[in-house]
Amino acid sequence: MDTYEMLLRGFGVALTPANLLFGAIGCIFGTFIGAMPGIGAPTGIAVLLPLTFGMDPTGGIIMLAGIYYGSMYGGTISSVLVNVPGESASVMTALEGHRMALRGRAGAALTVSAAGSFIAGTIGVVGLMLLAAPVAAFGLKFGPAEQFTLFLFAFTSLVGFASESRSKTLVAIVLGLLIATVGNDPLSGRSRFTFGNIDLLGGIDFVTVAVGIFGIGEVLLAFEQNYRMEFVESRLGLRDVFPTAKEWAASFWPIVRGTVIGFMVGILPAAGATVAAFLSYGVEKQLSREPERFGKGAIEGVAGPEAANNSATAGAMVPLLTLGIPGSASTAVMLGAFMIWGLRPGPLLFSKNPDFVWGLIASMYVGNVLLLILNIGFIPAFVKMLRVPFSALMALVVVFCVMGAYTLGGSLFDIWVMVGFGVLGYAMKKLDFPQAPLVFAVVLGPLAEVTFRQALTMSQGSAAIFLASPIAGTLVAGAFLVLAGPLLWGLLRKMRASGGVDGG
Amino acid sequence: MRNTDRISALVLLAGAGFVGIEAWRLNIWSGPGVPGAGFLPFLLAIALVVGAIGVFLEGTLSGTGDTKWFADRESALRLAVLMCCIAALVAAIQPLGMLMAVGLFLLVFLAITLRGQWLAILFIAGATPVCLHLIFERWLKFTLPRGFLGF
Repeated sequence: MDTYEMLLRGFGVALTPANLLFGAIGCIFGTFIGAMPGIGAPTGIAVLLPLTFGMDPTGGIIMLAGIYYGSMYGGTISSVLVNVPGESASVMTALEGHRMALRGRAGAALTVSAAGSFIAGTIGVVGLMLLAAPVAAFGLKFGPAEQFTLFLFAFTSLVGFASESRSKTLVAIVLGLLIATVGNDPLSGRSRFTFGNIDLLGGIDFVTVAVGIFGIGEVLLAFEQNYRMEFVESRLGLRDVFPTAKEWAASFWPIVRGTVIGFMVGILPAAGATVAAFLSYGVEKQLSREPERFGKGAIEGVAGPEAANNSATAGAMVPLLTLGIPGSASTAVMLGAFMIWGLRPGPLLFSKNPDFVWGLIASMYVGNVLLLILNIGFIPAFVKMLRVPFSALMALVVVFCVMGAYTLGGSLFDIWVMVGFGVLGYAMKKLDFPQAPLVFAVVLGPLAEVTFRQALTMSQGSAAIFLASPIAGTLVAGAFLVLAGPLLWGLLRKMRASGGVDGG
Repeated sequence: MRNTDRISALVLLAGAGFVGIEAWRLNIWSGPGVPGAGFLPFLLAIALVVGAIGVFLEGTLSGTGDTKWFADRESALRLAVLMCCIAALVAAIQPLGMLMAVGLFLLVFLAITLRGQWLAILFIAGATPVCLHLIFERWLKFTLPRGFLGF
């Protein structure tokens, strides 16, 4: 069957009443949590993940994906109306969109953002559809050495592209990998770091870590910082939300550029929607004939980044579905969900579970249409929902985290471990250690270790096996480049700058 | 100079030492050319040392000083209330049962944070356990822990 036929089959799956309902729940919940400051897509996915354990995996992934891209749409609402980005990917939108709201153009900012998100999200899904099958076919050539070097590339990308400190990102990855080693060694059966506790013999499940760090950790931080939402009074009826022809014209190319940038960045492991939005904003400012308008309510600064962050969500699905490598914190949590459902993301997923993959892809088309309608027609309803007392919402998140940790294995010990990781997540935020790389490493750790040791056993302990095949060699070279590249580039710039001073 | 980074680095170095010793105890190699259970932890201990040194140097060479990194008194109190409520919730699950513990947690926590809004507090504290029962026990068929009252 070709891609077109598979997509039609996917629509057959996505348009069943049950899956439509799960998609709609995901989109609405995603929009809501995206709009809440302090609760991002990874938190929403981690908290609602346990609900999907008893569901059909296709319905489950459709709901989780709806939360993921729905949150990108939702992040705009609080950015524009409250000047508090619900998602880190919406920081740029807050910068420009809120200024527009203060000038009485909130409706235009929200509509351009929703339209840009829709166009970018839809084109992104087309990109995903076209790229996924060839990349998956390529992935079939991977043995243990290639797989491990792919993981190595993903981890070094996290460090190389880190927006925070590289050392702290490295520490977060190492801590995640160490957490993944707790329990019985998968190859020798020896227990590691269990301290005689039988509850730890089976290891620490990634859901416990993700729910603790993204759920409880974020709640602790949000509660400490006492977030409050003060809305700009705006007319948001259907008549008030349409941008002028001039605003549409100014937004067209930023949306196109944002779509391309977002998709390309989204494919890279670790880069994600936030980097895409920042990059798009920078490009728009550079290309603008009036860069001085940026920071004062330029609609291009809303259109580009919003397109980029939505397109990035589709891009991040490419490595997740085809190679089993997450492109963002949200897809890392989704990868863990795949494993709980007994599915192994990677090249074989397309041939073994076509309904699952193509149902998901088709649901993303449907979800984007639904989100466009929701985000243009129902903004006032979301604004009313956001007026729910913040502490009540936080308390409910805590309850869902506790339920999530318990339903995983039916053990109270898991709940205590989850709370412990919540405290760790809070401490990491306070000390500026990134949380997402830790969760990445917990999810990828077990597979990375097994492939690493299998490859070394095959080569009788020789690390040369990681350079022996062209694929593995290229990935090792890529890992070195992403790690050393930024350092060398920084050094070069410093040398040039000092040369300029000397010369001047 | 950022002392928080320097202290974090020292704690991480101590952690790396512990992991390294444990890895050694677990056997780094289980046979000629065959990595053992301690192989990856040993490499991770080395990577942790590298990361900790990086954090220490960043903290030492940083041009900015320590920002006010921990909460002020009012925020710390809010945080302590939340932490105590979460701990009490988890501790209460076994004797009271999941649904009862959740209802009480919401009642106490919201009574502290939403002072005076009793109608909202009672509604949330009462409706949430019912919804959880319907979702988890009826729909998803999970068995939640029951307390001495039998639910």
